[in-house]
Amino acid sequence: MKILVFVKQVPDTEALVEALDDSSLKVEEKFEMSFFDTLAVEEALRLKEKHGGTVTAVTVGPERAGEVLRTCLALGADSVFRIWDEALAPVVTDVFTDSLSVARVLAAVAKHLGFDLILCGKQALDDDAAAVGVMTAALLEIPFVTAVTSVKAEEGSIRVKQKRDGAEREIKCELPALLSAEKGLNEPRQPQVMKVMKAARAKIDAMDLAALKIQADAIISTVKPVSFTVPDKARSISIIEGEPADAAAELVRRLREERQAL
Amino acid sequence: MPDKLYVIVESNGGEIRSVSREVLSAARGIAGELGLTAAAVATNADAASEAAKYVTHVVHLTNAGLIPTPLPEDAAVVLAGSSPLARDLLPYLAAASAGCYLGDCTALRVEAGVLVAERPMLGGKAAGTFAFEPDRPIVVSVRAHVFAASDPPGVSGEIIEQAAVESKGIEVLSSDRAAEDRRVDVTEGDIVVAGGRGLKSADNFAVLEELAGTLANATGGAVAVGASRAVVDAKWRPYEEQVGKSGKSVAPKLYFAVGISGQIHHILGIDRAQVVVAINSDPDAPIFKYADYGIVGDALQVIPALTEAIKSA
Amino acid sequence: MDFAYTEEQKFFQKVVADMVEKVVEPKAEALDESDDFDHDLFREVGGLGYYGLRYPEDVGGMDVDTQTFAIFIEEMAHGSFGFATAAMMQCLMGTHFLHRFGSEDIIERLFKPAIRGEKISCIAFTEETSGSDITGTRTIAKQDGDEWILNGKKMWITNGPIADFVTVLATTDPALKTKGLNFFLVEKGMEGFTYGQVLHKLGARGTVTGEIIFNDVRLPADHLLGEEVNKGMEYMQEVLEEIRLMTAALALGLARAALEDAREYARVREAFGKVIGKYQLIRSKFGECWTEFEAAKLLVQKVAWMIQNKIPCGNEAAMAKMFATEMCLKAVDEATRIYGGNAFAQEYPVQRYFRDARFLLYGGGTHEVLKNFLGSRYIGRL
Ligand SMILES: Cc1cc2nc3c(=O)[nH]c(=O)nc-3n(C[C@H](O)[C@H](O)[C@H](O)COP(=O)(O)OP(=O)(O)OC[C@H]3O[C@@H](n4cnc5c(N)ncnc54)[C@H](O)[C@@H]3O)c2cc1C
Ligand SMILES: Cc1cc2nc3c(=O)[nH]c(=O)nc-3n(C[C@H](O)[C@H](O)[C@H](O)COP(=O)(O)OP(=O)(O)OC[C@H]3O[C@@H](n4cnc5c(N)ncnc54)[C@H](O)[C@@H]3O)c2cc1C
Repeated sequence: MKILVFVKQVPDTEALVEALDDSSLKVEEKFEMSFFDTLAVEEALRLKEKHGGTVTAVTVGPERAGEVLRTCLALGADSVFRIWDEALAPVVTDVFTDSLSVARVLAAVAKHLGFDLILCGKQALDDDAAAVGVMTAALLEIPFVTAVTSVKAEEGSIRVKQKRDGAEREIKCELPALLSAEKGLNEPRQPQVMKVMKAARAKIDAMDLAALKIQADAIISTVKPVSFTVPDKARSISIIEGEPADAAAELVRRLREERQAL
Repeated sequence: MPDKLYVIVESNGGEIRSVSREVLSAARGIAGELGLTAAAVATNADAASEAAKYVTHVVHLTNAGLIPTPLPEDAAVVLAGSSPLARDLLPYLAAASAGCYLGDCTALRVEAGVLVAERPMLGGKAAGTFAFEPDRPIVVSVRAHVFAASDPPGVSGEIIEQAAVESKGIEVLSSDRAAEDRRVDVTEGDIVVAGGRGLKSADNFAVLEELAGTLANATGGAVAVGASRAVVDAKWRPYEEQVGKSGKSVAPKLYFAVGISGQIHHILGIDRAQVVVAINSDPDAPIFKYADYGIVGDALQVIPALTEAIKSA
Repeated sequence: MDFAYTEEQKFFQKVVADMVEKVVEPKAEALDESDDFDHDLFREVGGLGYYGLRYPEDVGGMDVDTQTFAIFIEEMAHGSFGFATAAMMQCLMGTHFLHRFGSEDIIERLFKPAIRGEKISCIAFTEETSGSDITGTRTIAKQDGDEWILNGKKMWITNGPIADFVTVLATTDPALKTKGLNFFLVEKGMEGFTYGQVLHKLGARGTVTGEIIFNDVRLPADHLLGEEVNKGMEYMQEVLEEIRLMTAALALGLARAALEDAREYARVREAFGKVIGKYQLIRSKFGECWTEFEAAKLLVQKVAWMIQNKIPCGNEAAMAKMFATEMCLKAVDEATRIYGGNAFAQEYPVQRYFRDARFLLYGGGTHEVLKNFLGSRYIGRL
């Protein structure tokens, strides 16, 4: 089976975020592979170990993003590709990714490389958009299942489990297909030092849009961030007064309306 | 020329989901400001006729599979409430029509004649306001309670039946409701309801359990019960539930500290929670310094009232 | 002059830090509490290949540079100091002399499994009556035809009681002092090799430290680890710099853990209406400790570079070990002050750091001995 894994480098969940002004954000220089992508990589490696084939990891990102590909190599990926181009800089920034542009690039990569199965994370931990995987499947016109918690390969198809809305479904999906990984799918392994050292020395090549025959006008910001805010970290308390029933109703209203927390 | 704003109407046994009803309620207003006509897509006949009370044009997709496609050709905007289905369907529709997609928005409005949306980013550490590239379909989902649900304005829209495109290559073999168990480890809750010595006894944690269950049903998210060390030491609750420096560090979207005084050891464990609600009978309890919302009162009265308020909201 | 880690070192550091955070750190508290050896953890880390870092590839090692090895030690100490000392033993002293002098049989049967984490190694210098002063070694080896017969007792041996094999410092004749020392390999199960008391430690817990006893243990000729008899002291000098450097790396990791925890606390804890991190006296603690940490790190980098480039650095290695240790002792001390009374609670790791740091005073040479050594080097022959 020829498996592609899409991985993304995102700011570390502990990284500090600052608003420089209302139209730019600064994120501390600490990056990691998005958590759900680590599950996708692990699943790809397990499928390969069981059924044979190859695992190729792909990321769209600037040079620093090569690190997540190194991690994939260290974990056992057979090959990796970093896609980058000046034209991508405005749509893939430290803080925001234009999902459609990235999906177009990834669909082109997938066609270029060929595949039986694509795995990616359920969502990237920076924007939580959960869009790139689905969009890529749409562009490739292949079936997809998101947020899978178990994967079993069969002849020409794949059987997955998906937990959604409190129900568990078992789904059969014909290949080629795209799956996105949900928490609980597996426990990612730690890489072997031997492979880590090899990966550390590996040269990670970048492919540009021309190599993928992507027209520059396919890359546009369909969604544009215009301003940012960083919520004040110090909490300031609002005491809600009134009889229990009234106070409770008011609390529910404010949690909903002010914080969308319910 | 696309001239319609479609609302994707999700239903459960013919009953329109509350978040879909909220979006339906807002649809005409937004469509009006954009110079569009509000319309809807439903996959259930009852839901379609209910939707037709809100908008004048309803497409009833029959035999819809997992991904009810495609995007109607006259769609300028597609709106849906956030849901797992919307997370699959909307990006799909957007990609297939070269449209703009933004999911799980926390605000959506028209400014200077164009749509503008807000959504949190970087795990809630920041929020952004977004605009869309003109002359393309805009596909957006909004979270629950961004819009208020209102009664239908009494339109009687036309319903057009249309067969859904079959989703190819996908077959649902089984779907098991019994797997439903939203009780999760305290570190995994989207919402954590934690209790302390102010609850007075182990038995009284039943009111927290009930609140947790109600929250799980109302939000569809994962809800966990947590505890202060004082009540773990008193053996009212198991150690697995202890929140704090010597217990577990949690980072839920919403944290309730009920009858918990708020000592630093506890606070160190909830530092990364997004919204903290404190309920305590002592107005000077330190927990109020670390909370966003507070109710001063007896937990045993406030919590049942809160459970009721969530049920009836 | 380039002070930056290479791209390879940066990547390695990231991978190790992640491994430590996920695999080692979750066990740190239990290791400290039980003071028992965690065989599963030991095998797991070994299985990934870390114990072979400093050895060449032809014997199953990873052949990394000295700085990369130091990064591993630092990150391990950041996660669990007790386990880091066990891992360091396995990477370095427990296996060094086998690699340097072992017969093919020894390499295949003991060394290779050891760096895979399948066999536990240890080193035995210390005796009840001799620690700093290894010329006081009384464990004695007598030649008998092709074989050696070993008699004596060793104390304070990290993992001695559970080791599969031991590298033992013994003398052929106490009167020869440093010129009579040799390293011998003793294997578990050999007749006359037993263990005695197990010690209960203040810190660096999570290893079984204690006494091992040799009663007429018969050793085949290839169990003398050395090309020549009575050259043990020279062989020892060959790795002394590296031992001291890695002890300094342990100090870096532990100090960083303590300072990070203290920072987290200082950001949240309030006193007199302000978070304590706003008080100058608290800030000054961080100002000093951070500066000393960076200085210690520079010494570590320099010594790593000297060892890598085969530049003799006995002095610098002693300085790095001593300076990093003193820096670490201060950092753990300040961390406990910042934590106030809570530093006294078993629940918080700061008290563990405080106890662990004391170990650094003995491993790699006591500071009285090191200062004496450096002072005499500086003054010169009198
Ligand atoms: C080293 C160390 C580590 C620790 N680690 C942790 C830890 O990890 N997690 C942790 O939680 N604690 C920890 N603690 C303990 C912590 O300091 C507090 O003692 C503990 O959190 C107190 O628990 P509590 O808030 O439930 O109880 P209390 O402090 O007794 O507070 C009870 C609260 O309930 C309120 N109350 C009373 N009656 C009512 C009522 N009818 N309705 C509403 N409110 C009411 C009171 O006003 C009070 O604020 C640690 C302590 C130490 C020293
Ligand atoms: C946790 C732990 C693990 C250990 N693991 C091992 C192990 O695996 N293998 C092993 O062989 N040993 C091990 N040791 C022993 C360790 O190497 C010794 O403790 C160390 O060498 C110091 O020796 P000593 O304790 O006998 O102290 P001593 O040498 O008796 O020193 C006592 C005091 O006298 C001072 N002193 C000594 N000589 C001089 C001098 N010339 N001038 C001035 N002052 C002097 C010392 O600095 C010290 O303050 C371990 C120790 C500990 C605590």
